[in-house]
Amino acid sequence: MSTIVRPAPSDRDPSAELRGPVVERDTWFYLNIALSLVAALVVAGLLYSLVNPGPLYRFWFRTFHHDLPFDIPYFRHFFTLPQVWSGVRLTFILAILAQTTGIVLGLLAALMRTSRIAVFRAVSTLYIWVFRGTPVLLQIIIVSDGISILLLSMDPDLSGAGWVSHLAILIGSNAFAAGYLALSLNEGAYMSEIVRAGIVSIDRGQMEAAKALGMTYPLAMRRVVLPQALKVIIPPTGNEFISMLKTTSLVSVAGLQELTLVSEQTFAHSFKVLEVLVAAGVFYLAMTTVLTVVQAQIERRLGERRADVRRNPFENLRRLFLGSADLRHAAPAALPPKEAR
Amino acid sequence: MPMVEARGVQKYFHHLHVLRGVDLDVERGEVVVILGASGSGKTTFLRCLNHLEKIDGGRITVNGHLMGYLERDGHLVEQKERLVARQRAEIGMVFQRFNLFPHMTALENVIEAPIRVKGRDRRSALARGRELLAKVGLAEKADVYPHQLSGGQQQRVAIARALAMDPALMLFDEPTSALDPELVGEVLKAMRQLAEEGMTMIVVTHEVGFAREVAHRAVLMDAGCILEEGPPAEFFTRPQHPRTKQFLSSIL
Repeated sequence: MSTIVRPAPSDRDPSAELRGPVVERDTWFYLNIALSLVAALVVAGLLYSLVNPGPLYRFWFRTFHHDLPFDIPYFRHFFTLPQVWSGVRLTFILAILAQTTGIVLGLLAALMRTSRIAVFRAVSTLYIWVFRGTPVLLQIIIVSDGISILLLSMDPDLSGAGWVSHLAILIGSNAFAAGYLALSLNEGAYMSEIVRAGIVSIDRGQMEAAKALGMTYPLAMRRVVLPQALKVIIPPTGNEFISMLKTTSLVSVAGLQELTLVSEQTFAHSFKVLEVLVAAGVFYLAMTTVLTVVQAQIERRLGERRADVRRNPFENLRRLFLGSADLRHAAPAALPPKEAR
Repeated sequence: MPMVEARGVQKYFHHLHVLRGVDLDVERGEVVVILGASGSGKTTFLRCLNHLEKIDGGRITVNGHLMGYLERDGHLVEQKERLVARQRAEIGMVFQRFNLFPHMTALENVIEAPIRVKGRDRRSALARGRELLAKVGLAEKADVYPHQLSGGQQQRVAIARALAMDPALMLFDEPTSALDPELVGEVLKAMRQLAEEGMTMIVVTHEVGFAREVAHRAVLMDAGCILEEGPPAEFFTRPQHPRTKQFLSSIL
């Protein structure tokens, strides 16, 4: 029996390797183009109507024999109101503060939940159970009204001038403080589960290797486990951030002049309900879009080798709106070398 | 005084009796190879030696100190974590699955513990780290991340990482079992070099060639006990116990 020797790849005809598969422009290709053109026309028409609403009004009246129930000049006017911008600012600040505090609380609760001390585990489990198991709206009302009532009754200075009463009045009268407290506590419960999932996703061998090198648990956590868990924690945290931005609207029940309450107050005067709410939606959408792009950038910086995270923020923006067909033929290019698997 | 002194070590996993009174002395500079079928308790025993597993009976002393426990009124009480960590810093361990820190480069893996645990200054740790990587033949891979290295290279970085703590004793838990066959040699070569320098080593392995040529003593574990031990020349050529004969014939 003789050995068969095949030519090494470099010996083969080089031109044969350059010929890739031919992309055929089939029906789908032309359909794609046609539909995209139609969509682009509709969007361009709507945007043009913002500047010059006349043609749209006339088109609507001729087609439906009614006036378009949407006051476009008023819609534009909404974006210039100073109270709206201060509401947007408040919404954004509240979301960032509550989310940041929620992350810290979540980290604490997650570490307590994986602690060796039983009391820590119990406290953390109870906290998560209560704050995940009740509506945020309820929590906001309880914090803004209930806590101040309780505190007032606890003041040892019966004249109602002690510091406990001051604290009660501060919480009861400051919707921002109440909203911040309630949203942070609620968010902490969700974040703790995300952080815990990140921690348990790291191979046990990592903690063992760190311990075998003489590291204590806290040091190994800080230097070895948490930095790796971050990759698992960041994407759902981005989702939480976006969710938080929208949940701040609930603090309107406590009387905080954030975007939703300002909008309600505005249409209470002008009766332009649809215009105002759509405009508020545009504000929320703009804010969440900013967060989405920031999230994608952070994930890229963390070296997440995911196909849908791109270097360029505009590429991420494009993908946000147009999606990607990559899912149908995912390239297996990003796999690590064989030995590492 | 021997480097390691294990007396009647017992270990249960729930109701499973994994170690049934293991006695083993390892002298300074000695290389001991532990053989045995899977499930015989050899890896568990190794992990007890640096207190990655608690023991349920017996006692282990390393370098003259009771490992992981304090003796109080004739009872063993578990030592504080900080003190156990300080004891572990004296014992290097190499794992089957390497367990390199994937978010650090090879060099960062090596200098992490000396800086954070021993409080070495960064510059001298870096110099020593490069020296150790050169010793295992990976000087040019210092700034490469573990996933860019082959299994054999990763394991050699893991050996350098353990050596960076200047351990008095090195434990190897099946260091070549997760490797492709053509990568086993480079890891064994690094281990052999270490043995020649006089390092005290306890090696759990199936590499009979390594055991014959490098080890001073071979030990067979079976069902949580040490069945037979002796110099490799005798152990492999004239095994006494029928279980040893059976085991050796199954792996040779």
